[in-house]
Amino acid sequence: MMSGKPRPHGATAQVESTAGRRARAARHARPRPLVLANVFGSNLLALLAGALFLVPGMAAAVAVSGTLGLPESLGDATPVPDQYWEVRNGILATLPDHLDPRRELLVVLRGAEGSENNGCDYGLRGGDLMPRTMVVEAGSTLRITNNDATPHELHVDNLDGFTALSTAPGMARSERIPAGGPYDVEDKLYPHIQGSIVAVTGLVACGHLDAHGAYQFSDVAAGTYQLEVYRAGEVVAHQEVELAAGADVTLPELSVAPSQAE
Amino acid sequence: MFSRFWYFVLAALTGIAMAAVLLAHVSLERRTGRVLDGDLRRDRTEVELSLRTEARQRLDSILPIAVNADIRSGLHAATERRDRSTIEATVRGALNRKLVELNGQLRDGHADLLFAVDGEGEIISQLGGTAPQAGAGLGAFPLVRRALLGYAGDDTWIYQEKVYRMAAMPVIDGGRYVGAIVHGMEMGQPFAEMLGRGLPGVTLAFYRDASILAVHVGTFEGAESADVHNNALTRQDLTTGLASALSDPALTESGHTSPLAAGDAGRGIYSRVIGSAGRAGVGYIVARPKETLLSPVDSLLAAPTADVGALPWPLIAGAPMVLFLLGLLFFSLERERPFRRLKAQVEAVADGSRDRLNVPDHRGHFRKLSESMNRAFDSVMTKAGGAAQTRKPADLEEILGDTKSESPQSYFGFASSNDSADVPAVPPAAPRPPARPAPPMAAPAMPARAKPRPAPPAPAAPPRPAPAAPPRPAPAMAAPAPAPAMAAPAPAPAPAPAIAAPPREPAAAEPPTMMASMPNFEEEEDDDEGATMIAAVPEELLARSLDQGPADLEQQEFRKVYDAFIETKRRCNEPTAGLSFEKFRGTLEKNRDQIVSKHGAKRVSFSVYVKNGKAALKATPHRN
Repeated sequence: MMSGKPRPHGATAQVESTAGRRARAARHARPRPLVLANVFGSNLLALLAGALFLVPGMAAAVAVSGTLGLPESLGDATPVPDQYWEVRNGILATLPDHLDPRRELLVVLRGAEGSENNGCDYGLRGGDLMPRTMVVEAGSTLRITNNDATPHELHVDNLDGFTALSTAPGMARSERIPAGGPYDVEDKLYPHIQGSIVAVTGLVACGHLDAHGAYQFSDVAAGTYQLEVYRAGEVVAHQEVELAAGADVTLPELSVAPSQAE
Repeated sequence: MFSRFWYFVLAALTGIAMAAVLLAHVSLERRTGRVLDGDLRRDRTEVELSLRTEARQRLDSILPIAVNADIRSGLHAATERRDRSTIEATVRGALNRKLVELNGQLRDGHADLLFAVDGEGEIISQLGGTAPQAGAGLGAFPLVRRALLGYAGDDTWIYQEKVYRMAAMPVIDGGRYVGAIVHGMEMGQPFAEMLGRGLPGVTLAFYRDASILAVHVGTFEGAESADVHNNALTRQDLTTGLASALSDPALTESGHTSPLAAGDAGRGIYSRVIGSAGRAGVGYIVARPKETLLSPVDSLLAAPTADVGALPWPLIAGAPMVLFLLGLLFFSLERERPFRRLKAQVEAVADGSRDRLNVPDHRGHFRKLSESMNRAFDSVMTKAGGAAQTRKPADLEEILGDTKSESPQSYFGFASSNDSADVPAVPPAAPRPPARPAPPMAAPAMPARAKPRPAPPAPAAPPRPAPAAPPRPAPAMAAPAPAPAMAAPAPAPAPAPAIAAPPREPAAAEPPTMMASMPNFEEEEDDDEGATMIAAVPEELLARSLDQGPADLEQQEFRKVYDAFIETKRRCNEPTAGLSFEKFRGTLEKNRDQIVSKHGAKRVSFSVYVKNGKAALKATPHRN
């Protein structure tokens, strides 16, 4: 159980470098339609589009991928609810409870302070937060979409205004998150829902993680970043990434340490 | 005294009875409360067991759904699909139809909310509730997560704003877990009634936060609906108790409270339900109405006829009646009879048959009252004409009447006698001016025949108020001769001068007696009205009397008194014809006997004096 008080997270404050300033200038000069690049599925097309329709001389966006070296177990198994009965099915052996990396981990890229934020998608899915750790740019708005079929009532005790309001299915909860954190977020209706909100500076993008620990960032401007892996509101792995324009990057495996509880 | 004691006894008994009734009421109420609390604890245990049993029964009941071939194949197909974003409509439709069919077969255990989820926890089919949006799932709910790992269990959810008791069973197909069946039964009115059916007299309610979701009022077998309605706890009662229960730390720490007040009408135990929703503020209440103990009066009014008939009525009616009669007796002895006695004397004073009240006849307050009334009489008489006198001895004039008329009904009595009430009223005397009467003539004392007893000196009776008739001329009153002549010239035995007693308080209107010159006299201590003074008999007179018999002496005394009386009457120019010695003696004897018997005097002396210009006789009892 995480405490309700902000804890220092593992992210190191970044001093804006010359490269960083260049990258930021390039991002500011570049137009928004990165979607176009995704639609065509090619960085070349994006570069061409940028070259043809936008400001000449802009740095090209790249894709970053990699794999997390996951430990045998990510931590405590799903808590068994208070119940009268829990019996084995008697037909087939029960399975060990492996936590889902998609729900437990979050991979982000952080640049210099003021880096453009691509935004991260957070939500409630399957009856829990996806992912459980949510990193936001300090002072920005956190948006959590309810993808479940039942309302949720998320709240953060030590965050003014983040009270237990009902969020209907398909709707989103938006709250401005000040610097600090992590903040423990809970659901009043479902005590098994427990997450963390971390407010940082220089947040650039959130990676998409699959069930095997493979992650991917798309449409990242060239530059130097910190790749950080969060779990339960803390940085459990990080590395510096230097992205060159025009070339996708596959990062070496980044090992995620087991939780302290283990 | 008896009535006071009786009042005290009655008051004490009443107080003790009231205290006993109130203490019994409080004790019974406390005992009833303890019994009620014990019942509530047992009720809560019963509810827990019922919930446990119900959960197990539901796990067993959904097993046929989980092993149904169509369900298994449908979930298998859903789990195996490559594109997680879509699912074939045929698969979903087939699952829906099968779920409806199988759920209908569960009868009482049918689900209000039924899910079929694939291996990822995504909802493939759903009965009840709001249709889920595409891709919605339940895989992260611990119950479903555990079911997908192979466990069957139960939980309590708040789902789509309703509270459900949930149960989940894994679905196995092809040697692997392909999904789960999740069964929910709403914790609403039907569920409360189903659980409360086995708890007679218990009010079972479900709540979420401060809201009551459902209430079932248990009834006793054979209980009338009116009784149930009157004794049932209302939602308001339960809500009132819930507000205090939610602030009770015991609810969070141990999952339930101690028995608490449920409004004013009952008590209840507030518990969290087992499951996730229990930590989200969902719970249940077992409550019972308090047995209302009626007040003693209401108990009497509401007592059933059979109970009233079973009471020991002879004792209940007899004991108070005996106490009542005793109270009446004591009251009569202490109040009624003394009052009647006082009333008779007051009436006697009022009609003139006596002058004053006889104080020794009364006790306690009546005695003080009679004394006060006597003083009042004196005061009134004094103000009326200065004729108020201390009580005078009996006046034979009043008894014998006017010698002219030779009243045949002459009688004798003392106005100062304690038994004066027994003496017929003396006819009103002739009007007399309040002139100073002549001093009485001394007369020898009459030896007493009866055994003497201490005779109290009776207070002097005040003279009657003088009527308006013109007073007689009282030449004899002014003439001092007769009286001394009656006492002095008597040659012989003459003990009378030594024993004549003056009134205690000589008044101006009272004639002087020889007692005034005799220092050696004594006064009767008991006689409050002591106007009659008892003088000691000089030794020489007693010695001289030894030579003669008592009868002879008495006759001599009577003769002397008679002679003095005749002489005085003559001097007062009153007729004496017809007043023979025999008749005079008979009257004296009769009067003497009365005085002796009523005063316990040894002897009685008679003296003659002039009163209002007429000859009069004064009788004085002597103790010695």
